[in-house]
Amino acid sequence: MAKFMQQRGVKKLLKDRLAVVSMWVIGAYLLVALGVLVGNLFTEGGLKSETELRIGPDNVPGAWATQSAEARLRDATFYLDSIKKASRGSDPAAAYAALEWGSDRLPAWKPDRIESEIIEPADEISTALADHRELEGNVEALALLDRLEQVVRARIGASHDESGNAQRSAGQSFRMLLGTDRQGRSILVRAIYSTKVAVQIGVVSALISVLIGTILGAAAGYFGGVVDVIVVWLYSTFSSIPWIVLLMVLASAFRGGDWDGTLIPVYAAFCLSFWISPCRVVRGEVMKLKELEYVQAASAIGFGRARILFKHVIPNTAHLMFINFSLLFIGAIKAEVILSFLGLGVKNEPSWGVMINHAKAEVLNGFFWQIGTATVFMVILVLAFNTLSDALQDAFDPKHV
Amino acid sequence: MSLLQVDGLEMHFPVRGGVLNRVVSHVHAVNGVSFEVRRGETLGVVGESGCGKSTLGKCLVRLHEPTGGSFRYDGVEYAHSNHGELMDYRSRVQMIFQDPYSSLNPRLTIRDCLREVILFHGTNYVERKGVREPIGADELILELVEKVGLRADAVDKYPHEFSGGQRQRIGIARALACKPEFLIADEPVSALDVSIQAQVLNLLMDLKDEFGLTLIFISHDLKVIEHFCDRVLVMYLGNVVEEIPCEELHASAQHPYTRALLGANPINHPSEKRELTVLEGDVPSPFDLPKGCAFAGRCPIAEPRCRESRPPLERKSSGHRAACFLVG
Repeated sequence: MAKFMQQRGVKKLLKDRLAVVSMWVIGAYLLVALGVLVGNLFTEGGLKSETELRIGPDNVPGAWATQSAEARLRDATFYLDSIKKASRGSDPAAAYAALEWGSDRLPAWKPDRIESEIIEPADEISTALADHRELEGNVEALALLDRLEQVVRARIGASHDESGNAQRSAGQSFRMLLGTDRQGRSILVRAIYSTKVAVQIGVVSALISVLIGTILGAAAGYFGGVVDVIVVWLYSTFSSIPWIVLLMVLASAFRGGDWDGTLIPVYAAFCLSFWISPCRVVRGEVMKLKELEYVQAASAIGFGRARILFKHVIPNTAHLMFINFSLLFIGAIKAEVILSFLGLGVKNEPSWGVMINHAKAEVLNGFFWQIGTATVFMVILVLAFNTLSDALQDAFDPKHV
Repeated sequence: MSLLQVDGLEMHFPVRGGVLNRVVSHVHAVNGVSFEVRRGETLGVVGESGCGKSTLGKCLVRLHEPTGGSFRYDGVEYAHSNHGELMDYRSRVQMIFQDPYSSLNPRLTIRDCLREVILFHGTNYVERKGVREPIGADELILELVEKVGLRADAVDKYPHEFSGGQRQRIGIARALACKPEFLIADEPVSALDVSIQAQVLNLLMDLKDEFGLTLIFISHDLKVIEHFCDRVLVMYLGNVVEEIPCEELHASAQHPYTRALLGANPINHPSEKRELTVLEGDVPSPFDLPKGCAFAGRCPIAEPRCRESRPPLERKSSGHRAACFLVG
């Protein structure tokens, strides 16, 4: 088989530059997903806890966005308040340590030093700032704001360069790269983690759907008669239900059960609605193949029907399995987003759909970082897969429209 | 002694239609065909497209179960046997297919293709003085490949790496891998170039002699049949209209359809004369056959009684039968 692929399809596929680029993109996504999966296994609490972390104020925009003065004040106040809360609590050292965005400098300080070097000067500036109603364009107020930021943020791991822009530690600036969501969680980290969920759902549901569809479709096409009637009846029935409704029904049917909160309800819903299209295509192909002379030769030789089906018929539908896999992979990722957006999909984990769902309210306030990030992550993957499946179709099944 | 005896073989395919998918009519592909094949001879079956000659061949290797009649091979009835009962028959009777481009599984190398057959039927042995000695499957594969005139390095290639003629040779090797004694060749050369046709025909002839095969050779080309066969069966619309030894074909063929076929053969030189009868009209529909002779509508010498009743296949002389009221 490897040699066969070498001969025709793969060569043609590798000539298609767009296809190669999309394969690299898909490869990168798969690597990220694998990395997250492995990281999840080998880090304590999993990388998932990383996505739940508050790394700063709410709805901070991405690194290269210019913030309004109000937003800067709000952020600085957030940091100040967190430091105050920590140092005035019962166990300041532990509370400092829990300030995830803080540097290693903060916990080493004594509470009274923090009180005198951060909180007191910051409070003074805040009080002075409170006198100014208009911040934008107000030179005096902006100068105060700069000083406030310096005082607060210099102490939490972000030093300042000469022009006064906040310099964060590498980890922190990576997390803050695309800003934070409404709970102050890193959008970038959540989007990257979601790649794992997307790939997981895509691979598992596309693989199972293609397998079910191929076996049922091949059996229907090859045996005909009652088997064909049953399979056709099954997929006609399933395909006459709008798939989104079917997904919703299945997803809610699992609610409250043992598997609630895992991805299993999502897999089940997707496989039950996605096996139809490979089944239909494979059935047609097998009906064509079984009339071919090599299949007739196999029966004239005396091979049993199962052997003919699995050795001589199904392997020759492999190109359809490839193409359907890549189409269903995209379908599953998109459907996951829709389902999660409706609140029926992924739970207890971030996913692009969950992120878009959470971004509903932010969008109304003009904050597009979360929905934008999730969408861009998804669009790139889906686009790459679309390009690849087009190229696959051209390379392996030139007769197909 | 006849090796294969066919008695009134019928193959009617049901045609389904309507809302309830009921059988609305039948295609009368093969309509009561009787003949016999003696051990070691080559029987040609000739006829135009749709006359049922391929269906006849497929019934005989039991790709179809005949709807009527029977056939006995070496004294055993196989027309309605099931899969298990057919196993022995299948290793003795094999088929060579028409289209070399679709008769090989594109996913299997020649080695895999042949090995599967050899191991399935357990034919990896040589017979020396009546004693079977086992040999390796690979050894037999190489032998087969060389027997059909391909190089030994062909075994690890895929079918798409071969030309049509080479593929047909592989198809023959696959049939031979069962070690059959009877081959049904369904238009084995009609899809090939004329130059390649001769090679494959010669190969078949050599193999026939070497393995002592009995052959049914299906073709629409009388020239090829004449060259290759001992007797010829002329079919028209699912019926045998004439059966005649090949050497008598030109001299004593009697049925008007056979004469028309002979007349349609290309001639070797423009100075040669030929009796050209251009048949008019179309072949009747195989759905509802005419009451009388199926050929009556196109026959140049038909009389009213030809349309009333069907002429039986009558013995004209030794080995010669024809189904016509008006000749002989």
